[in-house]
Amino acid sequence: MNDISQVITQDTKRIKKLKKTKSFAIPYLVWMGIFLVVPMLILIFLAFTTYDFSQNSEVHFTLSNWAYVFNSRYAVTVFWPSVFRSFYVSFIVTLICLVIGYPVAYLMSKLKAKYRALIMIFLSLPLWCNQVLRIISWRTIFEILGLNYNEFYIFNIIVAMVSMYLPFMILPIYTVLEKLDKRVIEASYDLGCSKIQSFFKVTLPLSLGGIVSGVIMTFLPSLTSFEVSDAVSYNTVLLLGNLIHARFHGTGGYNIGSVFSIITIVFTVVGFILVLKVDKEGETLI
Amino acid sequence: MKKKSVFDYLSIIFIVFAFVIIYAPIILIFIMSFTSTYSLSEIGTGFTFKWYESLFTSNYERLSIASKYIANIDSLKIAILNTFFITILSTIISTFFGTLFAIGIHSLNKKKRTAFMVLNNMPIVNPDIVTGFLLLLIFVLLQTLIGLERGWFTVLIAHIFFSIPYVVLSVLPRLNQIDPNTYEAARDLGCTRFGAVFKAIIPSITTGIVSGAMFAFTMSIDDFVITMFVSGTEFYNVSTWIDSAMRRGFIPKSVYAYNLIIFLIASIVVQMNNFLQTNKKRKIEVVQE
Amino acid sequence: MEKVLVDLKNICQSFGDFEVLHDFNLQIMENEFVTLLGPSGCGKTTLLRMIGGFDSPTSGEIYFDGKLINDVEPNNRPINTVFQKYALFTHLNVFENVAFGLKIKKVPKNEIEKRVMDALKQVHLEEYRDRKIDQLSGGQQQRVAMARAIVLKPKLLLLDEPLAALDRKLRQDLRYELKDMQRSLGITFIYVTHDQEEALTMSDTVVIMNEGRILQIGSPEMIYNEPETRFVANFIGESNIVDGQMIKDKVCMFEGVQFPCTYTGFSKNEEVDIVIRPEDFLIVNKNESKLTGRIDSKTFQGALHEINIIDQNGTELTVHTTKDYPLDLEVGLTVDPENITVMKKPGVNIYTGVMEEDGYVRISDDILLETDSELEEGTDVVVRILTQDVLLDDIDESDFEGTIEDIKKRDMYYDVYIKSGDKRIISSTSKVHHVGETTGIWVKKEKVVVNVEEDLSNE
Repeated sequence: MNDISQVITQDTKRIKKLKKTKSFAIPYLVWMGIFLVVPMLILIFLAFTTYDFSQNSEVHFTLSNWAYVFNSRYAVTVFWPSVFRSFYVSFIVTLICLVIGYPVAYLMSKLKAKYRALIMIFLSLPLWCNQVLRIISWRTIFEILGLNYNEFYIFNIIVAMVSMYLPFMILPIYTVLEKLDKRVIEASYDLGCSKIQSFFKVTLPLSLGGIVSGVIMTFLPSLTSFEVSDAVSYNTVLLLGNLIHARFHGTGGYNIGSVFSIITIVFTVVGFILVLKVDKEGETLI
Repeated sequence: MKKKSVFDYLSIIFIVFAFVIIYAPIILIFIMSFTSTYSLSEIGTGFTFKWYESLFTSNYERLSIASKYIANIDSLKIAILNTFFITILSTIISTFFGTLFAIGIHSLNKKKRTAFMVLNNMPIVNPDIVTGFLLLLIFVLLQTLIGLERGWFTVLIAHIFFSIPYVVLSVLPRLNQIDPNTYEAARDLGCTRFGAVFKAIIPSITTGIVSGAMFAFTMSIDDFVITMFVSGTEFYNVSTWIDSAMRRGFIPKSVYAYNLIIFLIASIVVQMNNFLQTNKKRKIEVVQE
Repeated sequence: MEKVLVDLKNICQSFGDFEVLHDFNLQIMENEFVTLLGPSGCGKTTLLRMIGGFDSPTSGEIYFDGKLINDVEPNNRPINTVFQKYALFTHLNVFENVAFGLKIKKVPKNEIEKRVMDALKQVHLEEYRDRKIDQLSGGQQQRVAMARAIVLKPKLLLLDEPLAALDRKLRQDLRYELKDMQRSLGITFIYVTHDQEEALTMSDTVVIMNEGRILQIGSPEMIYNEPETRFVANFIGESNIVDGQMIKDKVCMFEGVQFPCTYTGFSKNEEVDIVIRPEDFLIVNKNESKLTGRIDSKTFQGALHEINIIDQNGTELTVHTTKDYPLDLEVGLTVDPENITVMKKPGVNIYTGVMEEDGYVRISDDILLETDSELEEGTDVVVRILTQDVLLDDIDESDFEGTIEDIKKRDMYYDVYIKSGDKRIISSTSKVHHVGETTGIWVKKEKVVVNVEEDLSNE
């Protein structure tokens, strides 16, 4: 008991909030503030001014960057056609990934644990092979198959993207399906559902979270990818990503690039909100 | 044995299709790395190990004796070393801090935790090109303010930045599984605040930390887009090196050899990890019986 | 001589607007086995965590061995805890778990070995020293948690529902082991549970809690035989609780029948609650008692039959007997005078009032209270506020104010009579106040019960 009175004084200041592990989260807030929030503010600043970092020019508020993107020859002939092309490509990529990915994830979840682990490994191993080289290999494959002509470029881009992003569709759906309580399915049989009814009325709605995550994790990267179209179409097919990429070395590029980025972020936020609706803690994102 | 339905056959076709489309480029890389000629029509002929050797011996690789296409293998070797340097360092740093952040986030109340997770998941959902652009902007600002040049340091910061959210996402589920009183129990038995975190919480979430580190490593070693944005003009990792080689029009075979080596090492490591874990599980099952 | 080991003074704890503990006072003696018993959410675990040092009270003082320990960190308190679900370290084996605290305290290695093995012997786990935690059964894990705590020789051991995760049979065995261990170690135990059987079989003292307050403190026998409130009677074992009256000293009446009892000191014809345990009813021939009824249903429960009887007034009474009776039999019921428990009804302040906008009700010129009611403006209502829900506080914090006219001491609290304008209000509180003092008065809006005036006539 003698030690109690000695420690009282020294503990007094520290005791206020005992669950001190909370404080570990605070530096993260600062970190995210510096590398996520501040850049967003710069982005907005650049989008509405003509300021150029390299010349430390004067700050003039302007809407000309937006006018350039929404109402100019460039907008009509290049920007919006590229955006629509991007949407078209990523819509088809996502659809193919979903149509192939869902059955694969579903079947995986039905396998024995041993095989499931094996398939998981096979799905994650491609990540260990350099993505740029994989894309270049697709170009080589198309060259070998004789598909390296204008008419095939969009098709080639879609195939290469499906190859790149299919695992990102399968994994979140699989995560959800694996966690799904098998007794719920049995309960639906017990209540008179046929196998097909049970799938559409129970399994599918319960795996919606994985589907949404998978769709977002496929759609957004394919919407903004530039390396695939660069490699596979020999820099001829322009997608949204290529436009942003080009702005990053070009003249006055950052201001227009910021407008592009804000537009992309708007698409992202819509996707992100969809994910949040079904998965608050982001468990299906990895 | 149940009779196989149409659905079963269809499902096999789907799985096969998925694997073909995912593995086709990898198979090509495999073939390319063992083919002596650059000509696509002769692909698969002329088996050789010379590209593997040249990774360690050659200084240059050229398309043909008279070709203008020359690749500097020395600079590839530097890019490989850069990649390992960045990947290993960013994995260690992001795993360490990501784990502490996850512990912090875990002990928050539900409302704040959800808010933190929104912030955490933003870089994951954000397309790489946007993340890269945002990071470039802050580095350009820092360059103007404090003269920070883009190079290995900015690449390292960027890799730590995009790796931490994955570590947090891997560690949090483990934290949810462990007893909510683990921290208190350690304090109760005499640990100080930090003692309780390092002696009780962290040892009991090692599986989550390891998988978080694996994620960080995988994301970092393969990163292209973000590195390209923040690396400046002098610093290359393997991805940006291959990209610039492609843009110059000549990709040396040594790159294929390097990639296959990494791929095989990864396969072995992942397999071993899998084997060890199933073995451990089996052991526990045996004891419990 | 008995020494006070833990002294809790005016402990308050609230999370945001939610008050978990309300002005809590409790003394725990050395070597006592005290059980905090109450439904989940009653504040018992919060209290335990405060004593352990994991939460700090919003206000109030915690004394341990005569010293204020509010600001002592948990690692510096000579108190150890057996956590709910044990919180064992799954990365360590049994031996390492038990040795954890000793290693932190830098005890020499050979002494660690000896003390850990002693502790493991005490919980009969010597042979399991090298086992992993996930290779142990629930009961074994519970024992490891005990060993890990007692190996540090704490003066006080806190146990947070340590048996809750185990199956019934094991729980019963472990109860006796825990009690034996407490006796042989000579350590004070504070034991938290919601299981009344555990509380009654193990404790020296039971503290019954609800909504952050103590309802009753006493030996298990006292608590069981003489519950002071409806809540306690209901919570401890099964009870028949019926409305009744004290006709005069030692005579009560319920279900229209007069019975002799042992209670005195009530006013004439005072409305009371009567509590009779199911096993205390005796079934007799229908003409041998004025209280009669028909057997409506019965269930066989192994050692006894539980019989539901509908009496002449249509009230359902539950009786436990060892004998089986046929359904629909008309029977008489008697009960021994010492088995009748008479409880004071909780005090109620009743007013008439008028609803105003936004759910406010006006009781007098000075008294306007917020309620949860959605009644229309202008409705005449009857307002009821239990005396225990009338809170006394600083004048600026309160709904209205009044002057204390009188204070009457009850068993566990004081009834404070306050005059505010032309109205009188009674507050039941454990805080000390003085006659003549002006005090602020407030009532939580969910505690103000309003009924449309017509409702009253139906009751």
